[in-house]
Amino acid sequence: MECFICSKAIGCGYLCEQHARELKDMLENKIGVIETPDWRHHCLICGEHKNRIIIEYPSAGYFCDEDICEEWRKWLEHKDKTP
Amino acid sequence: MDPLGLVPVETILDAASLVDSVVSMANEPSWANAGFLAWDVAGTLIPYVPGAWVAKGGKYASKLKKAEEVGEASADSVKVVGKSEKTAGKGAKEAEQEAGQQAEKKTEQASEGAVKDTAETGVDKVKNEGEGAVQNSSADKNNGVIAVDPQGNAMPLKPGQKIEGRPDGKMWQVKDKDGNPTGDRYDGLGHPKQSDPKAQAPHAHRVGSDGQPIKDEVGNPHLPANPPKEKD
Repeated sequence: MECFICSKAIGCGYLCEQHARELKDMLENKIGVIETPDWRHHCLICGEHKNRIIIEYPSAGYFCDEDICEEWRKWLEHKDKTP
Repeated sequence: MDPLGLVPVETILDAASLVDSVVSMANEPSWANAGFLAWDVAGTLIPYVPGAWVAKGGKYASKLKKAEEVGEASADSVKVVGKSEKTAGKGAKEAEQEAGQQAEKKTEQASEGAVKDTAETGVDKVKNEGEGAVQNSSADKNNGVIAVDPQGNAMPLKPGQKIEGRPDGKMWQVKDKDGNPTGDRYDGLGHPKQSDPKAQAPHAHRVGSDGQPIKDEVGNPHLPANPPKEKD
C-alpha cells in the first residue's frame, strides 16, 4: 500500500500519517472544500462524490470526508496500540 | 496479375475507404473525418478521382508504431509531444495513438530542418505540478497540444488548459483556464474501495463535448489506461 498523496509505503490504508492529519486539518478548517462537488470531483480513494464533503489537495486530487476521517482514525488506533 | 485492368481496384478501395470514413465520422465526429468523408463521397462518384484512402493509408500504417515510441520515450513527467486536432470523445489509448501521429509530424518537421520551438507550437510549458498552461499563439489559436504521461497515456489539451496532479504522474487531471476540472483525469491507483473491477484498476476519465463522462461499451465511465510504471 502507498499513500495516495506522497506514495510513501504504508502498512495499511491509503494515506500516510502526515497526510491523513493534513487532510483532517483541511477538513476541519474548511480549506480546499469543493462547494458543489459533481462527478469530476469524485474521491481518489472511494470514487464517490454524492453526499460527501470533498477536499481538494492540490498536488494529488480529491478526497472525501469519510475517507479522510477513516484514515485518520486508523492512525489514532495505531497510536493507541503502540506501547 | 491484371494486365487488362479488369479488376476495379480503385473503385474497391474507394468503397472501402468510404465505409471507413462513415464509421470514423459516426464514432468520432471531427472536421478531419468530415473532410475524409466528403473526399470519399466525391472519389466514389467521380471517375478517376481517388478516394481519401490515398491519404489515410500512411496514417494508419504508422499510427500504432509511433504511439508506442512516444510512450517509451516519455520520462518522469507529463510531456507535450505535439499539437493536437480536436480529439474530444476519444479514450486515452486512442489519444495515445493520436499522439503518435502528432509525434510523426514533429519528426517530419525536424527532418525538414523546421523544428518548431515552444513558442511557435503554442506551448509554454506543461509540468506535472500544473504550473504551465497551454498558451495561445497567433498561429495556433484553435489547436492545443497532446500531453503524454510517464505511462504513455496521452491527453489532448486545448489552449488554456493545464494538467495538475502528483509529481510522479500516477494521478492527474486536466483543468481549464479558470482552474476548474474538465473531467479528463487519470486515476493510476484506481479507487480501491469501489466494487467495480474497472474502477479498482488504473483507469482514465474522458469528458465528451456535452460535459458528461464518456462511457465504454457497457456504460462504464472508468476507461482503460496504462497502469503506473513501477520504479526500477
